Amino acid sequence: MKDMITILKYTIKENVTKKSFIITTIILMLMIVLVCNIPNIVNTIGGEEKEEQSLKYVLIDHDNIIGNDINALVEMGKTINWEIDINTTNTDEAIEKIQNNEIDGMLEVLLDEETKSAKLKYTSNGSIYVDDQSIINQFISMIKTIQINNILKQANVSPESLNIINADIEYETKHLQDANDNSGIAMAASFILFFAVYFYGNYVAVSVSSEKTSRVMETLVTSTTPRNIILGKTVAMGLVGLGQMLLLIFTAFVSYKLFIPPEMDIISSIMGNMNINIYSILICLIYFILGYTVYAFLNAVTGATVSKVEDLNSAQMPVAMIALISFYLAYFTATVPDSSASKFASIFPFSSAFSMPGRILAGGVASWEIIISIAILLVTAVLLAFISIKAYSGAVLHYGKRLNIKELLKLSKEK
Amino acid sequence: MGLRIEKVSKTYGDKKVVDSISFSMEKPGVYGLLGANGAGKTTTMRMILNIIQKDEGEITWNGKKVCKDNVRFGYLPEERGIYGKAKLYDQLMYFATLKGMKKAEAKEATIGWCKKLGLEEYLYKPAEQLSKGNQQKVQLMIAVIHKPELLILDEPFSGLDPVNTKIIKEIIMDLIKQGTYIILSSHQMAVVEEYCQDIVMLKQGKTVLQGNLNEIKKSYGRNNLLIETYQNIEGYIPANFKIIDKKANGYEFKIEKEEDAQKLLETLVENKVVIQKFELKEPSLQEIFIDKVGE
Repeated sequence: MKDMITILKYTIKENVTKKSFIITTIILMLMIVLVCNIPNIVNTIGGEEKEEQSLKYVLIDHDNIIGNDINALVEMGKTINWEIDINTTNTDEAIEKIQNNEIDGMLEVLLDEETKSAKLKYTSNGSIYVDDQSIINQFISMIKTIQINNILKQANVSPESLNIINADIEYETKHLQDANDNSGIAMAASFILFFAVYFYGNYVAVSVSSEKTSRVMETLVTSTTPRNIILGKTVAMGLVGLGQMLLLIFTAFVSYKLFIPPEMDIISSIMGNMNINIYSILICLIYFILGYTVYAFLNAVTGATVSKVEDLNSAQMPVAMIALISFYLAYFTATVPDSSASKFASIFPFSSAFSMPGRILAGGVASWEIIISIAILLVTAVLLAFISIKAYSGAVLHYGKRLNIKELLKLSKEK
Repeated sequence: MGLRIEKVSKTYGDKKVVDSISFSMEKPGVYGLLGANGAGKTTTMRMILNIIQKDEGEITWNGKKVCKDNVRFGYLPEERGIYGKAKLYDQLMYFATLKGMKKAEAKEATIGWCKKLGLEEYLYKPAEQLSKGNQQKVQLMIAVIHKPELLILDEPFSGLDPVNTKIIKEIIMDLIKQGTYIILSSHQMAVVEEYCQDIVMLKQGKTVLQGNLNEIKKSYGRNNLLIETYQNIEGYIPANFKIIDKKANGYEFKIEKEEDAQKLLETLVENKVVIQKFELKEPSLQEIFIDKVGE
């Protein structure tokens, strides 16, 4: 136990002081901060010119349809960043201004002789930015409101009734069924867990194989037992991984709170939809630890079978295949959480760590399912620990050709 | 008391790499494990250290199994390996702690050994910055830092310059004085002759020669004749004398009987040949090795 802690401490120190580890962590943290700042960056780059340059229009009320309400219209325009000039009354003068780019367009309000309703003529230099249909629509609705109000006033409608007509209609939505699809959360969770479990597990393989390659292994196995080495290393890398992940999550949380403007806060609404509480977070943590353990032990054995670091990639193929297939199983069944494939994915020990946490966060998983799934995962982890300690002891001092599974089993039996 | 190895065997596949080896060390000293490449020396050492499981036989230290709880042992593997990126201090502390030393003791030993071996300036530098010879010294430090009772040295002098060889020789001498049981494997027979009272010689896993080095040599008889002279004496040499070596200042012959040497000496004196040195010797370990393991 004492040796295991010594190895654990050394492995942690060795890995967290590594330049590559520090740089990767810093880059990831910066990326998170950057992503959280995208709304602000967009605002500062794109937003400024837009705000400063309000749209300028000349409004000519040829037939005095708007009448005294023209000032109200100018005020209304200000709220949507329009600068409406009502002093220019000459059409030619306005057109010249448009050509000189002094204004963006001219709006002429006329009376249709036949229908007696208002007519709008819009003149602009034709740029897409200014010619937005929505601008014209907004203007039309403004004039329409003014016209309706005028007609109603003439018909002696009471001001109260006018207020009712002009008031915005409030609305609220209610879904009888939860229309919010939580499968996105489940997919994201399986993605994150896959990366964490596989990435940090891979570190164990690299660490073991590099010790073997540099022949430190011989000194190491005479200083302590293989069991201590493999357990110490696995736990250490797990802690390093967990630490890094928590640091990144913390960074994400803080920068989200600091940098994301409240009106863009979509995550809160998604989070509100999720089944997040101490219990579900704890379960996710358990899945990370157990899932990581399963893959880390497999990786430790893989690392011990090679004599050269170059051989590591090909040696890892079987484990990588298991991991990838399990991940895809979890990822694609996330969209159909009630299917039997999804249930299988969350119970099968190699994929449950990728599948179950997402399902739990999305909600609607029975407790017995979680208990069975964790139990199977735990048994698998313990079993793999025993097997890998044996295989590791047999393989660490084998140099030469890479061991295949048959030879590995034979060596493990001998040990 | 001491280390006993009894009828130990190991088979890989269908090849018996170690075949029923037995030897014992009753008192501190150096035991030589000799043999050509692939004779089974490293496998034997690893079995003694219990990092490879033996198929048959028994290995005991003071009647108990050889393991960390029963004996403090140190191992200098043939293939050198240290953590390249780790600081010297960190890895020495790491191994010292793993070998059961307390932090304060480990620190004292680490700094003490580095001073002794002239590696003080590298203490806080990555080990990969050290020269090959210095890395080897580090490896030796790792093997002896915890004052082992049983020390196994696999080719401790390979690749060392004369200065470093001398330093390491002195350290081994010190360890012998302190009562360490040392098993040493080397291809350099001169080294083995210098340290080992007892040897076991292996050939393809089998013991071909074993016992006290002096006795082995005696049993070979004093059949080497060394004559130092600046005159040409080849005319006086009997036909049954085999020239092993011919130097500017003399000859070395292999003879069949000691009496033949006496006769030659008489002949030389009668003919007034000036002789600087006339010596009957036992064969060197080198010759014994080639005789037993060669061909």
